[in-house]
Amino acid sequence: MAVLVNQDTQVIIQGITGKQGRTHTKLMQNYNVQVVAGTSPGKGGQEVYGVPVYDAVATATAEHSINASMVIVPPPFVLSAATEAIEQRIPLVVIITEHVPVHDSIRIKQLADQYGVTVVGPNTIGVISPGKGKVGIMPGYIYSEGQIGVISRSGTLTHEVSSNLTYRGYGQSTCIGIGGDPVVGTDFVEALKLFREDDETQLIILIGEIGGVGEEKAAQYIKETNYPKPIVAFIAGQTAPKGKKMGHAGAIISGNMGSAESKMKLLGEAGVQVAETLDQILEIVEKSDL
Amino acid sequence: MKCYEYEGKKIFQDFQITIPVGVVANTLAEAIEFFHAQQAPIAIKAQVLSGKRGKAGGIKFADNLTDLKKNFTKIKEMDIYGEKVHTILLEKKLQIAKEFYLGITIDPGVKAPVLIFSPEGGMDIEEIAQQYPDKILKSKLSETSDQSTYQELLAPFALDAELVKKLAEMMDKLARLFYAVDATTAEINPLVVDEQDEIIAADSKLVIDDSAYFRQKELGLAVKEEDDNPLTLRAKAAGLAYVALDDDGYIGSIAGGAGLALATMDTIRFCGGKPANFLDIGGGVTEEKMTNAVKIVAARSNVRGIIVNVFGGINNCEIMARGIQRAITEDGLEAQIVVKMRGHSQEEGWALLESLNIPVIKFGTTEDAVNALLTNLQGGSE
Repeated sequence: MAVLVNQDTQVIIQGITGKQGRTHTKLMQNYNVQVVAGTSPGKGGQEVYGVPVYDAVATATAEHSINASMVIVPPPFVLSAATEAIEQRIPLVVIITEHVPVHDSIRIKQLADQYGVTVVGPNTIGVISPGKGKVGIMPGYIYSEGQIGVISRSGTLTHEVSSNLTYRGYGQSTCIGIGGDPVVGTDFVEALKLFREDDETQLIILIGEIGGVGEEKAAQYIKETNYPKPIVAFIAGQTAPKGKKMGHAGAIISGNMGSAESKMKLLGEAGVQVAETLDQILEIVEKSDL
Repeated sequence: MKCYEYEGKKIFQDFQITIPVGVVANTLAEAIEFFHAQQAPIAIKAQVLSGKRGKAGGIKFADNLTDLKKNFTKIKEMDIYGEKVHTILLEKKLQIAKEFYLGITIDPGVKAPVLIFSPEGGMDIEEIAQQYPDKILKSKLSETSDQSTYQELLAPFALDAELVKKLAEMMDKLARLFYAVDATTAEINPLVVDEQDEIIAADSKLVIDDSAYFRQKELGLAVKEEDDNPLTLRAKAAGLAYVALDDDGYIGSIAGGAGLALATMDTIRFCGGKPANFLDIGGGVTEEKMTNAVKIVAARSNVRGIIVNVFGGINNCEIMARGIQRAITEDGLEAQIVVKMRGHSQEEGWALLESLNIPVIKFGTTEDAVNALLTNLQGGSE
């Protein structure tokens, strides 16, 4: 079954005529994704790798059946692009763009909740259900089809963990890059809720990092709801010096809030198997019932 | 971007928030001129970005010329938590009747700004939270919140009606400012009511979202480097993020993406190595960017080994391999290097690196790559 994305996903790419938009249209087509339309204001009527380009999402939805959007426009245009997709009630909007103003991310999330739309990102690699489809920029062939759900704040750590699993013969049901920003559309808790209902997903890997409160909230949710599936967690930045901004805006520790130590402790107390190293994730999976 | 107090207060003024009479002074002559014009006690405030400035002695007062000269000079030469005093703000000293805490910040847990207020001002919010946990108001803010919203919020504090009206007005102004300038934090601590019953922002702590800079240029904020390490600055100029780690570290690391960079750093330590630095190459990596990355992590003389841990997701493996090649040809790199690389154009990238006799980890884990490097380094020193 997988979550969010499957073989029936029909995608619109917002920002299809840009360099990144073109590249990933082609790569998604190579992964057998149905890219049915694209948008780029003022470029309606053009084509990108055979995909028709429209000026606005509303024009595209009138012509095509669309159930997912991938937003890959520059930061100043993300708010209006996402708003267009949400107002057309496209059920899944994946925002790849990095450096989106946080006030815009908040506005997007509020609008999405109002319209009942799922937003993933910003600052994400997107979502992949290996072998079925992807709405994202990950290299498909380092992923493989299987029963592990992956939820991660970091794009490249999603690649790392999923490819390590793949090379050891463990496939993934769906991998959700929730994005590295402090405010994201779908957080760990919302992603865990999705996997809870998915028959195909037998085990979940949660990849967090220092900073923010997402992992803490996940721990609370897992504990309170007595989450029914096994979860393995890993937190990056366990040896990071305090107070320094380590790349992602979200990854800053102040005091004990957001430290790897507190996140690992809370997750452990919630019954999650906490891996101390990346390789331990694999060891835990190899010992599981999968 | 963090604002200095004086920058924040200038923005406060644009939103009709009253601030003390004051002036930015860089020389003693300017300070003396201000003192004579005021004919009143003044506050001398070091302009630095770190908090707890008062406790570090960064705020002093003067009610005569001798004290002014002494304290101005003292603050001017000060180093506050490693930060040199960049400039000084002089203000007419306030006659305080009552102090409050007022702040707005983004709470990632609720995915919205929250307004925080306490009738106990004048100390850090963390201290207030410890000493007066019942006297902190925390409420989710929205773009439609208005003065009546704030008046209702203030009701439980049993303050007099006139004061509630003033505080609600102040909250409204600060909230408008918060949205208008793309702030991630806007704090007034203390918010003062003086003996003339006027409500005044005695301090300002304002942080503007770096990602919103494109639409906030007119704020004209001074560019600040929070990390003045020359390699960090060199990396920044090349569009890369460099973090210096252990002084006695001997492994340089280059990784794609913050999460993988952090995990690579952790792995180096877990495997018994010492990281000297890490560099996140981010997206949109060109050959030149990768060349710069290798040169920058190799720049510290104690770096004997370099691990490159990257993916061709948004980047391309062949282009990254060419960048590594160029760094080696141009600089004659002495450090041992191990590359773990997979993703778009991996075959081409691997082939190029192998032709240069660089060990390539294709299907192994980060730990495999780090261990390979550590083994090679041991071999080299024997």
